[in-house]
Amino acid sequence: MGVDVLVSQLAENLKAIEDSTGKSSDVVIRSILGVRTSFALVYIEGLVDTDIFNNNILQPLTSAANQVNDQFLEGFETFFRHHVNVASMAVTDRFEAVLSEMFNGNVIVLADGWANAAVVGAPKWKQRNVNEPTSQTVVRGPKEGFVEDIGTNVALIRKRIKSPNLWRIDRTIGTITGTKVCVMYINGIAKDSVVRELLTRLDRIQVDSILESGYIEEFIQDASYTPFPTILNVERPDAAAAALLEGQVVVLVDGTPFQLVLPVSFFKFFLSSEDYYQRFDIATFVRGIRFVAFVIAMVLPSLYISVTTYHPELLPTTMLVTLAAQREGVPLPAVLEALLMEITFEVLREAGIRMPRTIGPAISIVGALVLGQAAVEAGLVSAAMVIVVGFTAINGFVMPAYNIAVAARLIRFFLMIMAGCLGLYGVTAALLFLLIHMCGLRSFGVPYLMPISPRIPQNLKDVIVRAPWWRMHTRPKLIASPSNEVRQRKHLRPGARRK
Amino acid sequence: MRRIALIVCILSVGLLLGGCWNREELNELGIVSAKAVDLNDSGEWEASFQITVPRSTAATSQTSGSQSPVTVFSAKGRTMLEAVERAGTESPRRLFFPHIQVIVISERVAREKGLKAVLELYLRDHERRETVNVLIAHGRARDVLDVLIPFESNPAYAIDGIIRRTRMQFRDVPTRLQDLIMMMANPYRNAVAQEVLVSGDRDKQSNLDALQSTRSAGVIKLGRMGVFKADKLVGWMNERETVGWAWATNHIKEMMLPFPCDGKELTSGSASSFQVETASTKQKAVYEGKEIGIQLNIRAEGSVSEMACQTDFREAEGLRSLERSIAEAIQSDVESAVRKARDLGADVFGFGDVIHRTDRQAWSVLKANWPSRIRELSIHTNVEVSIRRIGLTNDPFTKVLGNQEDKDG
Repeated sequence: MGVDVLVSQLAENLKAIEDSTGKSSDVVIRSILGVRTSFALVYIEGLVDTDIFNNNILQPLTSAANQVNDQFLEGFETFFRHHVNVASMAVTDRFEAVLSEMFNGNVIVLADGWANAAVVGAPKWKQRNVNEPTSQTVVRGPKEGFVEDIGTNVALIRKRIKSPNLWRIDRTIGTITGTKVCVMYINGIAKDSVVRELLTRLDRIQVDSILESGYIEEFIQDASYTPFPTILNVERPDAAAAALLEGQVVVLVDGTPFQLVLPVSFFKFFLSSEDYYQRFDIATFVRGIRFVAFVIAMVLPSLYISVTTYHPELLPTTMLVTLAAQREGVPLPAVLEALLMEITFEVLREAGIRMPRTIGPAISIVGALVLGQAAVEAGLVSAAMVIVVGFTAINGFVMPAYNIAVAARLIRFFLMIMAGCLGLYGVTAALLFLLIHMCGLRSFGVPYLMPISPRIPQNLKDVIVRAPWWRMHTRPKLIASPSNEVRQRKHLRPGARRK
Repeated sequence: MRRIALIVCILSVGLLLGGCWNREELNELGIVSAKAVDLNDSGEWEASFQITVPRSTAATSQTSGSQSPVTVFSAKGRTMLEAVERAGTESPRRLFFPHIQVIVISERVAREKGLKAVLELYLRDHERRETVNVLIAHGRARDVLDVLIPFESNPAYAIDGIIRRTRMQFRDVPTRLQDLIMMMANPYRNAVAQEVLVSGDRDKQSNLDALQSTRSAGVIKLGRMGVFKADKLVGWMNERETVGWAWATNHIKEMMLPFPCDGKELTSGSASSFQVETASTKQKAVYEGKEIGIQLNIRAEGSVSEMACQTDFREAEGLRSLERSIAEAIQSDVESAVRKARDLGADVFGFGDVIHRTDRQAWSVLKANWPSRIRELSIHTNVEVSIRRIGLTNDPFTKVLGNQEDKDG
């Protein structure tokens, strides 16, 4: 690219733009010939709001171009400021900035004899409406989900937190995609050190493209070689707002409805925003179910393998006989049987995502009837194994966070192999290994197993139990800034005597 | 990175090398549900194993009904394990012992060889459990394994069920291996064990067709209680003595106690029933002058559930006289048990331990030839019975009928 700064010849500037965009047909150049000089409006088709362009930019400029007035004599900038009826307008002389603003949906106004360009903001592109989130649904609670547009997403959060302390820092990451990434936090509640660390990590990213927040997540997470995610993603503005209020930082990435929340502990992945909308007792119960389901999703097949192949003496006699009866004539050892069934299920699940909607029901028929029932009837797999695999799979869907469910899936296979080789001893060893590994994980300085290890009694009110709202006086320690931990007054229990 | 790869390699090789060595699939196991020990005429052990056939036992299996739920293997050997091993070679599957429910030992083994060989095996082997039931068979032990019992497809579970029910609803008979070992390991106490017998036609009942008729040709019963000296069977206590033993040793749970009306003979026409609901017995060593003796304080509570006496419940004296009759019935049971124990010269009640606990010095003299000293030991029984309920009617039905006869007359 030959040009760094704009020159005063309009033709040359336009030629430079045409050259660098390869004369792409969606780069529209609209020239206006005036009395004293000529102007050019450059924009990308489809990224610009045509109403604003016609009524507020093109029309006033065309009419003003023919008259030489006071503002024109004062200089181009003043002239444009008077005649372009759009809120956002900036002036730059940098060629690169011109291009990037153009791709952001702005209209570039050039004039012959002016070595600058006016950047007029009129972006508008087709965007999805704010819909119900697809992966993090609730029964009770707001039905709004994030969309792909970062501006809308920020607005969705702002709408919930009407405070000047909700601060936002922008970064553009990706040398080619130039993706907007925006860090939001509540000043005074979030830890400054976390924000600073996050910005350092963001600034370190040198990559050509960011297409989803997953890219950012992998660049900034604390540990890569682990099945456990150390950054949470949310699809719900209310969840993001709640995270901000607890002192967490939200990273919004343009082009995806999944925004990052950090720092998080392991237990955050089991909390759904609905926990806070339902009554505390039922929320606590449901949370218990989720933890149990996670454990089942991880260990059930391996327990089944180890108990049936290494420790049949552990089973109650009648159960042993029933299981033994089902295994009669099954050709494969239990480990292989389990691995095979699990892999079959993973295939079905993957196929289910890829399957066109119209033949979706067919896959469940094939999966459930042909592969399940027929395999049992043919004596290839035991019915008990189908039950184990099926129940495990259902348990895998209980977790509100998809990425922790994926972790359970991976670990399940590891545990199954351990169970096949070493029985319960292997499973125990593997679980201990995982526990040690988890103790070593951090998420932006917060220990992963906080508040169980290190034990922080104050934080336990919102981990396995969800205390009633009037009992949660404080924000979580270690996550929120220590100077602003108190959330609300004590003794707010309805009916309690004032103290 | 390379180091990590190396570590992973070494670890996984270790895993594979060590892996799976004692893995056994369920369908490679012959789940032994019962074991029988006999002695044949040439003095060899004869071990029999009842092995569950899972296919025909499981609830949903389609083939069940056409195949016997169990199969029995037998083999002889000079040692117990030799017999076990030989039986194992007959079976296509490895014999798997942890789920064994019952060990049946023939009377002949118990009398001639003692139980030590069986107990030794069970104490040493990690695959065997001490909670297994040990029963003494009247006759050949193997025969017990052959009998099919309705309700439970597996006879061993049926026997276990019978024992459980007995333990819950009648008396806490010591049938577990650990009970037996505890009793036998005590040099001053004689062990007892429950007898099991097949009553009726064994051969007919060992056929699967037996389960298709409404009346079982043969049934399995718990019978008398065997008394041991060291590990050898020396005698039997009949049912009455067994009940007396249970009263004396605090093993009564609930039971239906028949009793006669004040002082009369106990006959089937004139007996009433007392449902014991709670019972407790305290054994105490007491001095009578210089001699130490045993006092049994028995308490029983319950309800009268069948009346043949003409007692008037509206008067306190009536109840009290009933309570006395019941207490006498209990007392006579206990006395018969004590009599049998004295005959055998065997302390089946653990009185030696009571004296030991109360007076160590006296015990050091007494213990010299303890069990036989029970013959001279003074044993007193105090029975206290309280009737809590008398049911829904006051007068016995015989009395109602009696009034009617009066009317006619």
